[in-house]
Amino acid sequence: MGRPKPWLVALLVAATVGAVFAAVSTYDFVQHLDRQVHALHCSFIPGVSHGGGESGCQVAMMSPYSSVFRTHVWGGIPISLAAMSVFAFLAFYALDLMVTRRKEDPRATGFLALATALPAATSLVMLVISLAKLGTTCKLCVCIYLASAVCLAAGIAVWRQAVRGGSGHAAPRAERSHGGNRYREDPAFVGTGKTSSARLVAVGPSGATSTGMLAAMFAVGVAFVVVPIALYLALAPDHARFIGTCEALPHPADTYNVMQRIERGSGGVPAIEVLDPLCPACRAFEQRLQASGIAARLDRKAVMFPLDNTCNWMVTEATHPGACTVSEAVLCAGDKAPEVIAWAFEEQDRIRSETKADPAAAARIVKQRFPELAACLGSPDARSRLNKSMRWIVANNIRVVTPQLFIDKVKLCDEDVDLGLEYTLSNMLARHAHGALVAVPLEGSAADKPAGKPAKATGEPPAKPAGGTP
Amino acid sequence: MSLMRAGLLVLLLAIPAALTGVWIKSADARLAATSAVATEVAPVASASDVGYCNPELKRILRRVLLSCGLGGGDAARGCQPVQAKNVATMSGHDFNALFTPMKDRGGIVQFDKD
Repeated sequence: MGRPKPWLVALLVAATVGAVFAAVSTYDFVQHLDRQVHALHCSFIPGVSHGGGESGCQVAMMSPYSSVFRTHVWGGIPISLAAMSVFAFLAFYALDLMVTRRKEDPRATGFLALATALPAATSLVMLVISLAKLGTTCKLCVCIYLASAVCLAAGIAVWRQAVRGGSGHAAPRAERSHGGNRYREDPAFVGTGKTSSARLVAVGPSGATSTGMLAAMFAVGVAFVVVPIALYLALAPDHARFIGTCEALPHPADTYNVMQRIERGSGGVPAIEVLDPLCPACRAFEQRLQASGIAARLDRKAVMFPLDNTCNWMVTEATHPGACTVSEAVLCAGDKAPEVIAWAFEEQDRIRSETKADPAAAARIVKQRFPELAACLGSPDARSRLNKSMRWIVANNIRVVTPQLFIDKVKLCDEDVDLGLEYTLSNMLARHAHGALVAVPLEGSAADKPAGKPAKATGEPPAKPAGGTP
Repeated sequence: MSLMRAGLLVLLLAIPAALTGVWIKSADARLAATSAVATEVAPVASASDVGYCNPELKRILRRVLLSCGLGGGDAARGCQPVQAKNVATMSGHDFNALFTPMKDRGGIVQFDKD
């Protein structure tokens, strides 16, 4: 085996570290397949949970960039799964080079350097996405990026050393042809005169790396990625059975004229979204929906449901201070409602915080931005329309949580508003196209129970759904 | 040597595959368990949050509003409480049921004699 080269050891360590962090990330992702809310391990120390609240890891995991094939598999196939597999392969290959004498073979080490380029390039792309699109980074991801970088640097160093003939010395090599394959023999040094010309060619061939060997190693690398992914696809729970099991609208007609269009020029399948313009979960949902590309396939109309007790008798406190005022602004805006909603999503943090300190702040901020709405804001007509909006909510037995999306009267389950969004919505739209989108009870489960008895409204989020955070 | 390499290959290939399998099976088991039991969900929107606004009160209120011309159509003549009692042919029980809950929430409206 010989003495392991330091760079090869560094690569092995980095690959192991990368595999561990990718495994933790994969574990966090996979545990959400049970449709529940889970704490994430978001720390530079593997396995340590973050303190709560929204972390960069949560943003990254819930973003559409954390997995692929999201419309085919609930949640998609996590990229971290492939990362874990690639790092495992790098660790295997590094160990393989150690136990053989190919660590000094330029072709074998060149393949190693090439293999390390894959996680490095992927990490670079993901880092750019994190910074440019998500505006945050997750600690687990950063550790994976660093591990990838070290792997690449070490891989290149091992390769360069091999090209130079090992340890920076230009060692002569004997080339032979055997069985049609050209291979080289590593030099073996005798005595202490490594730098002198007193050297002998190695005792026997050193396991020359043929093209066939590299091809076999490439196939092994592919197997490292394909086997876990195939297993993932084979074992992943069937989430399609939950579609249509989460209530429906008994009276969807807009008899009070309270629905407002969410997007300009949208078309497609009719959909109703119950939202609070100052609700962070609604903003995040909107971002996910836009990123998924499915928003363009929907004709969405919004029903205002501000979780603010200044106008909403169903909540006991102002969960989102100023939401009543901004909801009135949306209702007053008419054709400009999409613009007001988009603005409210952008400014909701400021509006909430300022209104918490000064109840009149929301109206002031809205009037500053939309002076044309000043006359309507706070008027009896606006208040009446907002009241009617909430009466529509009551008439449809809607739960006190936002956001909620109904595709042609059938609700998108709260558990499907984040990781499972693309899969579930695609399925719902496909069923709608075939006339098969209907509300059904979930057989053999607690979901068979009635849609829900009236309960004291608290404005608190449901305990379990993955995405519903008012 | 070959055996060692093969062992390494199998071991390192099995680790991610096995972990993936175990984690997914675990999530699947939890999914089955939570589907079978009732979970806490958000309350359903309701029309009222006060106890006295019960179906009986709504029935009486509806009758009074309709009788006074305040509850539908384009009539809007309205009526004073005593008139309401006559117009809506309210019993004393109905009258009390309608106005007693208001005692803590409303004020006295004194009309001019005309």
